Amino acid sequence: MEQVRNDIDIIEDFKFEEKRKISKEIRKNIFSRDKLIIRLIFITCCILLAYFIYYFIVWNIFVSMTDWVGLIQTYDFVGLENYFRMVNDPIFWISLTNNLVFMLVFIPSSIIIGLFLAILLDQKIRKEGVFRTIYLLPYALSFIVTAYLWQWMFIEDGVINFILDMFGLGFLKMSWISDPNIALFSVSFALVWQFSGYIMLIFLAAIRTIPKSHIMAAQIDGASGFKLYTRVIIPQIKTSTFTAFVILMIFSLKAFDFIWILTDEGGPGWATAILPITIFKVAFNSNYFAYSSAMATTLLLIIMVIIIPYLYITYRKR
Amino acid sequence: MNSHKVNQIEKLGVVDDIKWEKLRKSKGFKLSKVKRLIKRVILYAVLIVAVLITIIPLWSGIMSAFKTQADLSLTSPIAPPLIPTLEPFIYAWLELQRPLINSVLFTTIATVISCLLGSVCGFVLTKLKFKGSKTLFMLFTIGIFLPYQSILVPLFITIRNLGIYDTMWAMILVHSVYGIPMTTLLFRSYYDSIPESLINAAKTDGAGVMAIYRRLIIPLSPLPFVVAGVFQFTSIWNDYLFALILTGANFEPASFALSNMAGGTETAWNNTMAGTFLYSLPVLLIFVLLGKYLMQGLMAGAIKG
Amino acid sequence: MEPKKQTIIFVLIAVISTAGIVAGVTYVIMAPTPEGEVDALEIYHWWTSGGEAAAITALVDEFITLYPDTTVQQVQIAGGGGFEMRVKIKTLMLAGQPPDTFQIHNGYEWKIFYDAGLLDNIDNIWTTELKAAVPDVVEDISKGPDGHYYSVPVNIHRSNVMWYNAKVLQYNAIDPATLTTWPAFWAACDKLIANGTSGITNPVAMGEQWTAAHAFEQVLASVGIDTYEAWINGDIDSVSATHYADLLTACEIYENLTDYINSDWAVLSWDSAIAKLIGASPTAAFSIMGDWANGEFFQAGWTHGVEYDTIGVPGTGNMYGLVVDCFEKPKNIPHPTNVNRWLAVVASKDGQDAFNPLKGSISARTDANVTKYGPYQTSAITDFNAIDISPTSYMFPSVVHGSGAPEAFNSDFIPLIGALTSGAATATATATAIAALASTYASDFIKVWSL
Repeated sequence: MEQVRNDIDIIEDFKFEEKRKISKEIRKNIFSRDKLIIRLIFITCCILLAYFIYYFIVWNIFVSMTDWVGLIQTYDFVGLENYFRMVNDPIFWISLTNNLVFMLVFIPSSIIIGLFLAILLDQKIRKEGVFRTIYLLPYALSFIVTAYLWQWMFIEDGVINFILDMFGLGFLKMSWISDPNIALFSVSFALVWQFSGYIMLIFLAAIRTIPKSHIMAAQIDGASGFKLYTRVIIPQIKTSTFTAFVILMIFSLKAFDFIWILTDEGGPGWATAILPITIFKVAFNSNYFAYSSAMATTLLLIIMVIIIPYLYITYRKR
Repeated sequence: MNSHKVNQIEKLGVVDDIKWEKLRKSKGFKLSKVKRLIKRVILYAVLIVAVLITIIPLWSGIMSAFKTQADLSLTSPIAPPLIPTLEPFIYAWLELQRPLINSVLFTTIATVISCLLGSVCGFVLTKLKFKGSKTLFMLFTIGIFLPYQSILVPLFITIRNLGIYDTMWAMILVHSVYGIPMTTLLFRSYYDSIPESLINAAKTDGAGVMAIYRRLIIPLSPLPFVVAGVFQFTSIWNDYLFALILTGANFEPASFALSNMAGGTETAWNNTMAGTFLYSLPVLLIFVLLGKYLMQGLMAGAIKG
Repeated sequence: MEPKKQTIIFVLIAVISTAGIVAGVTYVIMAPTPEGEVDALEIYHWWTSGGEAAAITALVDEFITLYPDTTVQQVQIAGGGGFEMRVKIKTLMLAGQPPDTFQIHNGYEWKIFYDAGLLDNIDNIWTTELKAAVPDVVEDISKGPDGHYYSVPVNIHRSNVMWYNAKVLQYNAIDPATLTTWPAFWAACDKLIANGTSGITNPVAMGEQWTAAHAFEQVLASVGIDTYEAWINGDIDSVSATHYADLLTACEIYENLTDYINSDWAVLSWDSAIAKLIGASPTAAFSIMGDWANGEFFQAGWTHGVEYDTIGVPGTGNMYGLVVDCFEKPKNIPHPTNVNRWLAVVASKDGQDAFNPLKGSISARTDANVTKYGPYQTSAITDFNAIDISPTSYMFPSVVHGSGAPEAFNSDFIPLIGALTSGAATATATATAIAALASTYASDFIKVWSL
């Protein structure tokens, strides 16, 4: 960093005119070899993404308008038929509702717990690094791993019931996954466990980048403890909250492996079948590839409705 | 925020904590010692409870990995084994060794490729601005949020037509390509903070774009490389969906092999847990060793916030 | 550049390169011998656990004795309760890289490949001798809609088995022979709970969603074979259908059954459910499960007829629920001759008698060598052969296990039962939903069964 600062000082001495001249010269050599390599790599990336993301999306939309069933690879164009079928399919609406409920539970809990942990860790804690690493550990794990871990937690003589018994809270024991009214909450709880450490990290990083002078000014004004946070710090990390919100939102729309393994394909019944699960079931259990493409396209649309304004606000305005 | 006061403080130049504490004390903001102590105790108690909640599932899993079947039914799920055994680990290792090697191989390669490509894209998008570069960047970023369920069918058909179904190349290709949006975002945010003037200085020295990228940008960006590397490695290592769709018996990734082992017709919790532990070891190590750089990366704006 | 950053870079490069090199070298060393061996056979199956793996190995050994020069490669995919295998086989077939031969549930489950023209007809395997040895229903399952044969059954599992802990029943003075009707069964369960001496509060052990659907299937058979037949023919397609009342009755019986099950059923695999019956302090006395469960008791060192025993699910004593695994021969495979040989071995009496004693199932042929089988299987074979020839006894193919109804129907049917089990749906709602499902997939029910 030292070096960087020196360089900046040197550059400040340069005359504006001179700089412009030189950059003009560089612009002339568009086809100079070195520029070409960088551009070539960049253009390759663009083409790859154009193909693997945007072309695939279009392709998928096309598939969703055919009558492709099973492994027969000749199929006809049927227009929006699959979409009409979807709108009339109760299972689609159940999945969508499940997705909404899941989001309403999972996102706020993760944000609140993450923020809470971040604020606690911001109190000049000894061994903060150790705490941080431990809280972050679940996030490093694969969803397959955590799904098996939580299956192990949720069984009748599993860890949760054991701990409840240990503290004399046996009356709180529940059929965590078997009861359709709790299943989705149990799933959310496990995922909050996995995600809140990461959300904490985002908030902690944001709190740390608030200029010290702002906090000090508030303290001189007499704000401390709880007030300091509600009045000064939390308003300053609005953007991070937004980022965390979007990350969690997108995850909750894409989540698949964890629930798939933990609850036997979204059971009991459709209690934990969120949209990605239903999409997969329709494709690989029922072999309705076109119909599942229609659902997947709808999912993509929902995500885009959330994501494009976010990207626009975050990047375009600057 | 009282901006006037902020300016004042900045002028005072109170930056280090000792001076600040003195200032605060002189102004009379101090808690009594007992009150402070009680506060600290409660604080640490809450933090430790949170640690316990975080750790218990992992602890219980690891403990059962050291138990025999009989031991499993005799001991409580969070108690250590009566007679520790390595048998579950041996079983899991024999089942998973080949897939683990496969995974290390393609995860490493795809991580390096996607980081390099991402750094080039981030560089081009920030430092060689051209018309439409912002829009292009947005188009890149949308890729991060793409639900893979919605491109599975075309992806599968493409991989099949390329003739690389069920090979390492399929995994490398797919993970490298779908890694570009994330790495580009990370690098771009970081390169944004490298002053334009620095680059112009290099240009005046006669350095070409390639030279600037190689001699200036790359050495300046170990931090985003670490952050992007950790992100990519973790997400590629943990991927299950692509492994399920794009590989067969010839090239089996560890994630698939694990679920294959654990989800068989018989559930042996000790073997399952030993397998999950073996499978998670690389990412856990990476997070423990490089976790603090992740934090630094976030603070440096690695994820825009 | 700061020295700290150099350290990061160094650590990073070191980690990556070491990992890369180690993996690369190991990959090269451990790389399997290149393919292209002319005389090879690749078999996909989902038998990974102890007895199952031993069984398929015994069958492969049988094959190797006859064709010692052939290299047999087994590919085992067991994850996700058969789901991963389904996805893999479908993608492999779609990728145009079909495996030489693969295991699947016999019947509707392979129809997707048949429809796409990806299966080879194997009429040559079905010799007169084989046709004579295999019961008609099983033979019928192996036929495609065009009347040709497309699969070879490798085993028969019985689905309608009620397992019980004999000691617990004896202790509570319950005579299993009386449990032939549902009311008698409820009485026994209530007695177990009321006695309380065994510490059993949920007498019936149940596992995750598909095992619930498995149990429902047996309940449905118990209300009458005609109803079951109408069900798999797709004829209960409305509330006004002939057998709808029986379907509703079955749903009600099943709902009653769920009063007696354990609360963590939805996260338990089938074997964890069975484990509730076993051990020094069992937490359940009964469980409805296919006879693959026998292996669990065997592993615990229990003897059939002593510590544990079986009866038919109440009301299905004269029936044999069929769960049939089979092998397929796809088109465009690398080693068609070896597959023909393999299928012939699978179909042979010796092949079946090598595989099934270890698998815990019985031979699909009625001429099995009974001396090779264990005590439970011997009784099953006796039942099987008797039911085959008796005109008032029936065999019925399982829907949950891929034989009796279209895959798409099955996929939607299982969560319906999950919802009923969890109390999210009433019996009436479930019956209506099942009927509606049959009407939705009416065109997919291409087989007309007469059981």
